[in-house]
Amino acid sequence: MRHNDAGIALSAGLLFVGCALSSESFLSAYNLFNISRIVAFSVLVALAQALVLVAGGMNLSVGAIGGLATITTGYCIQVLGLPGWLAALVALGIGGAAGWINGVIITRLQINSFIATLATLFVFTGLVHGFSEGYAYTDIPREFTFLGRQKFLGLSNLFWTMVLVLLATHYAFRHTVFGRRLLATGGNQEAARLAGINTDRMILLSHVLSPPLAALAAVAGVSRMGSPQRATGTAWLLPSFAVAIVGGTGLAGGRISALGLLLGAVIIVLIKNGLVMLEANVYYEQAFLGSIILLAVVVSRVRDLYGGRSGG
Amino acid sequence: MDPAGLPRAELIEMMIGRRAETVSFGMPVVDRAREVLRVEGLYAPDRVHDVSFSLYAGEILGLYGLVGAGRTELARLLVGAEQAERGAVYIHGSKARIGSVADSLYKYSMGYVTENRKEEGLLLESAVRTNLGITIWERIVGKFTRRIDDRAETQAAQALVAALDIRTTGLEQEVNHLSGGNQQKVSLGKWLAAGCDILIVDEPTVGVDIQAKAQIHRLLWDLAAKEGKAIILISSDMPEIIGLAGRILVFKDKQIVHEIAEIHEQGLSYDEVSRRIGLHLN
Repeated sequence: MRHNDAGIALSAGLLFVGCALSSESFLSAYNLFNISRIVAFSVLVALAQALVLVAGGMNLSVGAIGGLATITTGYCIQVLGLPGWLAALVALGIGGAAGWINGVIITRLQINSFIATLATLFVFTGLVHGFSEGYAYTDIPREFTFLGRQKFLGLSNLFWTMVLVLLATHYAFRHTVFGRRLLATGGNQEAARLAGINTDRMILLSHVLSPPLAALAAVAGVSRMGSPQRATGTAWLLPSFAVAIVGGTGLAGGRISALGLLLGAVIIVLIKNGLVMLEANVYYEQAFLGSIILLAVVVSRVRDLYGGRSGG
Repeated sequence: MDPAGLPRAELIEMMIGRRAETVSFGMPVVDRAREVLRVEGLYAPDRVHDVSFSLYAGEILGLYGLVGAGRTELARLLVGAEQAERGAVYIHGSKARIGSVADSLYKYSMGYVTENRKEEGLLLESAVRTNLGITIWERIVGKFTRRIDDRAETQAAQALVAALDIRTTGLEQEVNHLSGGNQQKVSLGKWLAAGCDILIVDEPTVGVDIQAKAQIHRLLWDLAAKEGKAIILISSDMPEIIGLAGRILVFKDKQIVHEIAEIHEQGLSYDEVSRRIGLHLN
């Protein structure tokens, strides 16, 4: 465990104990199941963001891609009559295709990722609205509940799926050429390119690989609600950054921690949970999340400026 | 020409109070039969205009000129960081197609040590291990697992830390915390890890302390003389380039305007070489 992760783990642990002590229902089986589901959901959305952040970019269209995946799932099941697992795969593929479009715009046209994904955010959102014409698919079979409602060892299946995804992420960044090159690209793109890394390809791949995770979260959403909600994804942007940044994925690129992402999600979810228990006005939630992002960025900046040098 | 017609070295001595330090290692061992690199009529607008030359095994070829004369631009074209409009590059006799730095490294065993190590040569926030190993990952990875062999990386990095005398607390130290000289050794070291045949080093001792500078000079000399590497040395440091390079190409306005050959063989003096360079720069 790295030094950063230890600090995040401590915060997450304190929050967990705090929540457990202040509410009798917190440790109930249903609440733990539910939290595991929300945490898993947050991790997937944040990982979609983190995979792009780590390569030095950002993806403002994660939520819109989640929306695309949501209606794709509904369309495939209800209109095309595909089995649920196949519909889910198609949704993941659509997510990847949307990400590929982002990646091509960014690497081929040399447009920075903020502008490119800001534009596609609206394009994809428009497609979601236009395609579904405001009509929600409601005829989702009862069996399509594997990810969203079923559990294993008391925790949501989505949670275990997320654990697998995080283990794969950890392995990729710690041990594989691909992961190390992605980190190098985010750390210093020009130096990476001059060291023989095809940085454009790495950036393109980061944009293709991350949206299927957002799509997976979207599919889980359909599975949980029993119907594709057209508004899925519209509120993902802020939490995707909040969890990633609290979890130690720097905004500047070159850093990522799978464990940190999990702990970051736990922190954000418990803080939201805590706000509800404290009966804080839920309409202020975005203000809280925004402040948390700011705080996390300031803390990491201060650490870079003062703490990091001590090892020299 | 120098004012008052004084020899350059004497002028420097009068200005700075001591003779410029010269570098000398003896006779180079150049294998003229092994042409490693040949450049023919390389042209890229505003970068280099019809540059042609050859480079041989064991040779240190100096490129001298003012900033913007086309030397760094040439280096970036050669390693595929940028693309030329016309002209050809031959490596070991066959025409090379270098579309990217990856091509130059993995297909043609060529490495470029940039003049801006902090901006272009290093992952400052990454470990010494990562910065040295970055060029060999592809070679030490498991076929199916795609897992990098950590032990192979450690061994390669440790060997370089020892060979280049890199002063670090360990392989995990961020290069950010190293001194300029040690950073430069790391920046150079990654190409040695890859075992490159052709090295292009751009201002290799800028912002480097005197001891590390001498070590880098010795290293470059040995790489050429003992290991037969072909080295292009871009330098604005006159004692450095005259001491190390057996042949110097003088660049001006994106072209080669003069060649000084057989510097060591003919025993050309520092003053003589610097005078001839000066003639063609003004």
